Amino acid sequence: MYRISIGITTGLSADVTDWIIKNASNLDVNCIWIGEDINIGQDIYTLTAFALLQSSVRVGTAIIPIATNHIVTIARAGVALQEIGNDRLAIGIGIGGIQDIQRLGITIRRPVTELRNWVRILRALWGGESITAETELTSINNFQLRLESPIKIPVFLGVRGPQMLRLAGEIADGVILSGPVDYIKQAIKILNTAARKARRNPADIERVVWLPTIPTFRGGTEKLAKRVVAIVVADTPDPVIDLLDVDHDLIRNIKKSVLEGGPSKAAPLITREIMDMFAISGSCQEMIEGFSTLHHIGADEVVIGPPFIGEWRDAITDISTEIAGEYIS
Amino acid sequence: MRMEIAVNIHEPLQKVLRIATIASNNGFDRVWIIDFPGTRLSSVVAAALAEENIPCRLGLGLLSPFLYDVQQIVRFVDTLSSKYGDSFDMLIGPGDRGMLNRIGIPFKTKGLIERMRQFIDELKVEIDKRGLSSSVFVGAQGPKMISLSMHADGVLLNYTEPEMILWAMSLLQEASKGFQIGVFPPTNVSDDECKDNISFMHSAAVIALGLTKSVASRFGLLDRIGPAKEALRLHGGITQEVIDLIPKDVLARFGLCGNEGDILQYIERLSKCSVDIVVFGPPVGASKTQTERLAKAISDFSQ
Repeated sequence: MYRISIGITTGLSADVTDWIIKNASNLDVNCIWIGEDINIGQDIYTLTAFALLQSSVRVGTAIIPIATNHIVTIARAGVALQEIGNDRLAIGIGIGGIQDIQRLGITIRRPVTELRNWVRILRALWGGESITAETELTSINNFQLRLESPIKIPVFLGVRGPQMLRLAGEIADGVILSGPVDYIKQAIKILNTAARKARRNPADIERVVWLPTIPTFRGGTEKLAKRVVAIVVADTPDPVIDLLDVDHDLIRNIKKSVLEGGPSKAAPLITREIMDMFAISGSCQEMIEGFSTLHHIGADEVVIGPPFIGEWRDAITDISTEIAGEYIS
Repeated sequence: MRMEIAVNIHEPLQKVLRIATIASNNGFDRVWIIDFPGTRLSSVVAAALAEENIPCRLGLGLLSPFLYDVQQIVRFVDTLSSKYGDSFDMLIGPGDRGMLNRIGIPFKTKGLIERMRQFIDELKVEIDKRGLSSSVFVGAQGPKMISLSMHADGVLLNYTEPEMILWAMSLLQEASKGFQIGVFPPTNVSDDECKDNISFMHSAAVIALGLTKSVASRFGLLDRIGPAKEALRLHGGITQEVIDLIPKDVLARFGLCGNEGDILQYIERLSKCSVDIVVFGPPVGASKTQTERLAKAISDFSQ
């Protein structure tokens, strides 16, 4: 059995995020995951607070980029959010989108070490310790949060490459994975192996999979879905593509077409196989089958996320009702 | 004269909510949510207070440009306003140098005033762009920062004593119409001796030792706070030893401490200075009892 959750990002309009947050409890979803679109839209901490205040479900950040957030700000927000949420909070962190952080002129020479350090520092600060630490992105000297008593917040990592996945297997409470289905399959294998190596039970690491979900019902069309998938393909890094058993010439053509003429030009190149590899798309039943596939390859939780197109409110309701119904039957 | 209070000092969130509720039900006009590197993030606390339908305005601060950029601060306020209505203000200031250094943020005094001015201007442009009615206040103590505050919508002066407040106000004569002048005294409402409240003594000491040379000299304090300043430099922070080196009568000029009657007298003195706002600063807002006693003094003043 797998759980479903809803994913939103700070770049979405407040109308969209607020509807989802206010209806999450009725939609039978397990969690609301909130991603930060760097420097765009709403403030992730305030939006997370709002989600905890206005819903009864679990709320997690997926993710807060460490490249653009101060570690102490994350720690301080975590304290307040944990109090609001009464143990319904998960903090997901990650490096941040490579293109985004490069655009901001930020370079991280040793991202795996950096993420490892951040997890250690955050846990120590929440544990009430006084910290002195020097990392690539941060420097803390004899600093401590004002806490009544230590707190424990599950730390999720949004990671992609093999080394990052091994780190997650070693230290994370959960992981947020995104990418083509074949890649997810391999990522979970790496994660599990790393967990065992660290003498952890892989089942103790929550595996959340967040792929673009594009209904072609309730106002969503296949044409639109293909355009979205074209963008997703174009944005997928080559090392990830290299891991896939797909027609690599076709992928190159799609990327080239997006670059030259945008997603509309590339849309005719998107086959059903590519659609199924890079997104969860189709009719309500097809999407549920897609989620089920993700569960079979090891996902504990699947995320219904952007783009929210057509009559997306109805589509989300249909999917969640259908999945809940399957469990009951 | 508007009465306001600062909360989120170190108390748990539930207590912050209770104290803010007491304050708003007892005629306080705004609750300021303290933002300090060791405290809960103010925007998150603001969301929790707003969710409780606290009827007064909420302020976030002190928000330091060293810790947050303009976009981040505007996103705090814009996100809060979109969900709970346009009732959030902000207090801007450089912040605590020692604390910022401890979290790896270099505090650069060179070009500070220019940086602050630019920051305030950009912040105001962004607020206007988004159609928010949020006010920007500047936390100020030195003459340059006080003068600079005229770029904002108001100032909260780090002074308690009317003599010092009047001097600071004399620097604001060219402020535009509608500019709000407030004071932010550390406040302890108690029958006990002030020295018994470590938190109060600490807050008062921060302000006393934050005086610029010229201001300390103007008020005859340069020599009297000299040993404590030297100890502060050696210790790298305000310790009990540093506090003990500040003469008691000097420290008393930088905080408001006493029972309801003493507070009432102070408010009456202040009302003659044409101050628009009094924000009762830490530690009063960390205690339910103290907040209730403060509310009583304010109620007596209103009558």
